[in-house]
Amino acid sequence: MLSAVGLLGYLLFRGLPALDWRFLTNMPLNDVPGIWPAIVGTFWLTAGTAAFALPVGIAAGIYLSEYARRGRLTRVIRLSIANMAGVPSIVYGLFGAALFVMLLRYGLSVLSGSLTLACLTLPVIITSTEEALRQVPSDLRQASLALGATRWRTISKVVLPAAAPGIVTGSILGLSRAAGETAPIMFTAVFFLTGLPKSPFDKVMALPYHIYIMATQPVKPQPLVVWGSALVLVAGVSIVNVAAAAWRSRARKKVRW
Amino acid sequence: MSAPETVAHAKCGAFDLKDVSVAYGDEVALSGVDLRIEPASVTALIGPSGCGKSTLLRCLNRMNDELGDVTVGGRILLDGDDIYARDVDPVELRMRVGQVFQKPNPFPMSIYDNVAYGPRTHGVPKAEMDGLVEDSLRRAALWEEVKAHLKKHAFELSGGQQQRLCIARALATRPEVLLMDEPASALDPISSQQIEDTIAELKSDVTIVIVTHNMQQAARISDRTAFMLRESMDRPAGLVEVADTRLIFTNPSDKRTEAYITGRFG
Repeated sequence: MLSAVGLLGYLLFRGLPALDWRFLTNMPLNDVPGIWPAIVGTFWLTAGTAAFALPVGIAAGIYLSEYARRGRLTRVIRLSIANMAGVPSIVYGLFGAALFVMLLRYGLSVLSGSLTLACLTLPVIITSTEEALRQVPSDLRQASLALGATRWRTISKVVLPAAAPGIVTGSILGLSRAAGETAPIMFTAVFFLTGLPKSPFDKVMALPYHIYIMATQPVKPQPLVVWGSALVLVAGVSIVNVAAAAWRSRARKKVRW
Repeated sequence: MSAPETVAHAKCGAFDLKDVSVAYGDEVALSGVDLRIEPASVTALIGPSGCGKSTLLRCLNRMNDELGDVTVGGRILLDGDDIYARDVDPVELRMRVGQVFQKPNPFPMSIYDNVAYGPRTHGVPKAEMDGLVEDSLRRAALWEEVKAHLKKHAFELSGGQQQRLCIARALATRPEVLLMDEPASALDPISSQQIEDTIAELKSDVTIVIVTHNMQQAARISDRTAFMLRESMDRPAGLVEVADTRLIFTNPSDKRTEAYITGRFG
C-alpha cells in the first residue's frame, strides 16, 4: 500500500512536468518529441489481446467450472494452466517470435504481439473466470435446472450474469498486466521508431518498450520522456482498473447471497 | 391484464413408484420403495435425517441425474409413463414436475423475470407472459404484495416472500406436480403459515409432494403421509408405511412409525 502510494507519488513528481498536449499527440521525431504512436500501439496490442484471450479464457473457465469431470484430463489441464502462469514473460516473447512471427509468418506485427500477450494473459482469465463461477451458489443452478432449463441456458442466463463482476475484474487485471509487458512484444510486435499501424500486420510502437528503449539509450538520455511515458502507461492502466472496480461494486450491490 | 384460465390437472400428476432404489456410486442409499402418489393431493414424506426423503424426491424430477454418479433402479411412472425411459428428456419432465427448495433461491433478477424464467425457457410467447406471471403470482399468494413492484429485484423481498416467489416461479411452467423439499424450514412461523396456506390452495389442481421434518406440519397439510427410515448405516433406507395422514398420526400400523411420531426418536 505504502509502496504503491510512494511509487505513484514519485512517478507523478517526475513525470508530470513532461505531460502536455504535444507530448501526448506528437510523433517521437518532432521538434517536441511525443509518444502518440506508442499510445496507439499499446491500445491496439491490448485490444488485440482482449479479442483473443477473453473468448478463449472465459470459455475455458466455463468448461473447467461447469462441465469438466474430475479426472486425469482435468488435472492435466489445471496443471498446465498453473505452469503457464509461472512461465517468465521473456519466454513467451521467444515462443511468440518462434511461432507467430516466424513459423506462421505474421512477422513483427500487432497480430503476433497480441497473440503472444494473449497466451500470457490466458491463465489469469481462465482462473478468475473459474473462481467467479464457483462463487455462484449451486442453489441457483439447481433452481434453473429444476425449471427445465438446459445446462447451457442455466449457465448463460443465470450463472454467467451472476459471475460477471468477478470475471470482468479478473480479465481487466490480466489485460492491464499485458498492457505493461515489454518482453513478450519485444520480438513479436514492436519497433523503436515507426508510424501508426494501418493493419494488424504492421509493427507498432508501445509504451513499455518505448520506456525501455529511452531509458537504455547510451546517447542523449531523455529522462523527461521516460518518466512521462511511464506516467501515461500507469495512469491509463489505473483508470481502467478503477473504472472496473467501480462498476463491480455497483454490480455487487445487486447480487448478494 | 387478464389472467388466463388455470388449467385443472385433476386427473394428471399421479406417480407410481415400483421397487425404486437409489445408489450413489456403489453405495445403495435407498431401496424397495413402492409408493403411489395420488393426483391433486398433498403427500408428505417424513422420517429422521438421512432416511432418503430428499433423495426420493429428487428421483421424481430426475434432479439426481445432475449429481453425477447416481443410479436409480426400479420404475417410476408419471401418469403411466416411465420417466426414466430412454426417450424421456429430463428437461421436459421438469416442466411437468416443478420443485421448490429448502432455502429460498430466487435468481438475481427482477420479480417479473424470476417468474418468467421458466416460460421463456420453454418458448411461451411474449404476449402471454404478463398474464402468466400474474396468474402464477396469484396462485402463490404473492400477487397483492408485489403487483406494484414487479421490476424490483427479487433479493429485496423478505425470506417468506422469496419462497412464495420461488413457488410462483415453479408454477409458471404449469407443472402437474410440485415437489417441495422442506419449503418452510428456513422461514419464520408467519411466513411458514403462509406457505402452508398456499399449499392448501394449490392442491386442487397440482399434485404436491412435500418433504418435512415438522410433523405438525405434515399432519396439518397433507392428505397422505409416507414414513421413511434408515435403520442402520449398513442397510439402505426404505419406506416403512404410507397411508392417509389421519391414520398415520392416530393409528399407525407399524411400531416404528408410532415411535417416531410420538417423538421417541429422530
